[in-house]
Amino acid sequence: MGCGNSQEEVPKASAPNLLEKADYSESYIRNKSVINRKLLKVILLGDSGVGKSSLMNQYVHQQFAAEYKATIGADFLTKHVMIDNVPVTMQIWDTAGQERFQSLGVAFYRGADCCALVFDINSEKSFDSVTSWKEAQIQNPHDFCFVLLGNKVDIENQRQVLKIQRVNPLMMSGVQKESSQLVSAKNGTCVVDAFDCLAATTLNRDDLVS
Amino acid sequence: MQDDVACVYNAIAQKNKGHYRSEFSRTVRSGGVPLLCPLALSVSGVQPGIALLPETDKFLGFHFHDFKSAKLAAVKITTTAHTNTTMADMMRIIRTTRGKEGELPAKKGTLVTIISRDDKKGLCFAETLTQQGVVSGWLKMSDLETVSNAEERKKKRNSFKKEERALLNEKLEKRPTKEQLLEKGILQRDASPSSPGIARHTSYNKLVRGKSGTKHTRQASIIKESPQGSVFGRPVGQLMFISYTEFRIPEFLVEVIDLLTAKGLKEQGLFRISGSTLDVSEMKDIIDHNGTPSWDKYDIQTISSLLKLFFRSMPEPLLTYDLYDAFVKLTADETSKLLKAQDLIALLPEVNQVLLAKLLCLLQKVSRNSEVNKMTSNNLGIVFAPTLMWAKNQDASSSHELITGNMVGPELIAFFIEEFTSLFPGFDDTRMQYNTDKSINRKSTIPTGAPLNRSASSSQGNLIDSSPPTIHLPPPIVRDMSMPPGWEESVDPKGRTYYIDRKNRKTQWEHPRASSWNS
Repeated sequence: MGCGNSQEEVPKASAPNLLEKADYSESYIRNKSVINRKLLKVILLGDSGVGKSSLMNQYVHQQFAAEYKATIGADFLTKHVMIDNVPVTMQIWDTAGQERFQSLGVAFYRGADCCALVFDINSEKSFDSVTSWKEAQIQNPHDFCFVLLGNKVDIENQRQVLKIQRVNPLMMSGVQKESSQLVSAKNGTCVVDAFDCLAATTLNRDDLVS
Repeated sequence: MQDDVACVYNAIAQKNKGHYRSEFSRTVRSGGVPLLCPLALSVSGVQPGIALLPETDKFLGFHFHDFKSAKLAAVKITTTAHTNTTMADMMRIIRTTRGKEGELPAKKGTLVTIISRDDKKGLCFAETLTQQGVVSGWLKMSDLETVSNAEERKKKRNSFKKEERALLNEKLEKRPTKEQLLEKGILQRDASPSSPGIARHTSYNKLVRGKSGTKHTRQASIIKESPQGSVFGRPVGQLMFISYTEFRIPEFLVEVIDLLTAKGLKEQGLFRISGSTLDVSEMKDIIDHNGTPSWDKYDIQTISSLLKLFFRSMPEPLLTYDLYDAFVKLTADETSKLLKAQDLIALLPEVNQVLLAKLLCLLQKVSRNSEVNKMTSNNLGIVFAPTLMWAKNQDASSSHELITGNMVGPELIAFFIEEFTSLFPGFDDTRMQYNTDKSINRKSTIPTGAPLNRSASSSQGNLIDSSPPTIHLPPPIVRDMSMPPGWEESVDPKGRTYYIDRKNRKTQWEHPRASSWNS
């Protein structure tokens, strides 16, 4: 488990740099043949309003929409990236956070490689319910790679301060600690890095398993 | 041909040894000539029905709209030429009818109530109670067989008894211990196969279908949020059942809605942001044990989650399985959406209508504050659609469809929220309940108009009316029938209605508000 090389400290690297890198690899990947490309299905789970859709949009389109809109059902976007010199197509599934969908069962999540549990660092409730999302959604937790993403780091002043130090001991078993990080879908902090890292972790894990 | 007469009546449904009789008094028109007549469909008292005025051979169509007093909303009298009618005639259909050309669609074995008979042509006009309400139409006498009334009445009485016993049990054990609850749970489980689904329909379903309510067999689907508690997960008809003429809205629901109206309207993301799962289940447990949670302990998101949970855990969604397809199709209809929506809502069981109105009233207030709380009607639609409607056989395979493909539900609920005032014109915004007088104006509350028109046209020689039933009611006379403070309505031994003035210790025949009607 783990992906040593791609995970150093929580990078404070400016977002533009990362974006450039991503753009480069994407155009590079597009021109390459499809044969070796791996498909990674990533699902975003978490309470309503924590910013799952925003995270996906920030990662794929580098955009942040200010409108406040709940997600209907689910939606997915794809992005081509280069992970450890392997071309990968990331298929990111954004889900509705309504409680109603917690009990939907595995049908929808079948075939997912990685599950990103998103919470709002300003809301302890959203962090608490991450566990129930994880348990309700996934019947065989060992088939999945779990990653925790704490969103909305940009909101500094009104933060209830859920520090990463406090989060760490709380992290439940089965979550990839190294690739869990704090992000901001609004200004893009660490978003690309978090997704790349998540992809690398999943790939490494798959390699280990196979 | 006599003209149709519209008139407002007072009616009190009375139960007498298992029979329901309705007492009508013509207070408005003639100062109260009381008429005792049996109800054609006397089961629930809140269903539209038809009765025969014994002295005049006139038919009386009515619709109860007020659970508490069972007062009459609208009454239409149609004179018919048929005189050889016995109201209590119950007959069984021996051939499945398809409902073509004004025929009553019904399966073989269905029990129908004969309203009028034309022996010359061998036809009769009959009614039966279905999930959608009262269905009426013509039938050939040759397709019918008489049933032993006594036998059916006995059946009916027994099913009444069973439900009343269950209700009594519930009242006796107001704060039961855990063992009692368990015991009660078992009791309920025992009772449920014979009385599944909506209580109001159940006994009649049994009677009509001759089956033990197979229609309502609960699906073991993953949608089911929680096992049935004493409040959450119970069929809403059972939950709100007091008697066949009375319903109550669960107290906690009223409190929750009041609380959200008072404190929640300015909360950003109300209903979208979920509350603490632990707190919600704690509150649910308290309510299921007939307690009242101390609301101050919980934040507003948690309380809003509780409201969503209540609707989500219903064994049948608020918009019902039967009407699911119809509601889904509704969104595509651009031209007569509102009218059709009104009709569809009128087809819901009355309890569901009231709950829906209450909920939509709250949601409308929330959406009006969307500048602050960001919850526009579209957002609310997205959040509430999956808690208010889902298809019947939704198992794991179709959950995919639910989560990806269901764009229609949110649109529909958003439409309901936006058009709330048009859909429920009789709903009193401030008191959050039906204003009894206004609701008379609702076109949709008077489905009885259809069969009545048919019986009217029948006497003109046009027996089988193949055109779709249209409702042409003369404008009902709307009058304030409520009692002024200090007044009371009573019935003397001869059955005449009179009014008591408690302040001045006087009685009179006239309605105390009668003077205001003429002005």
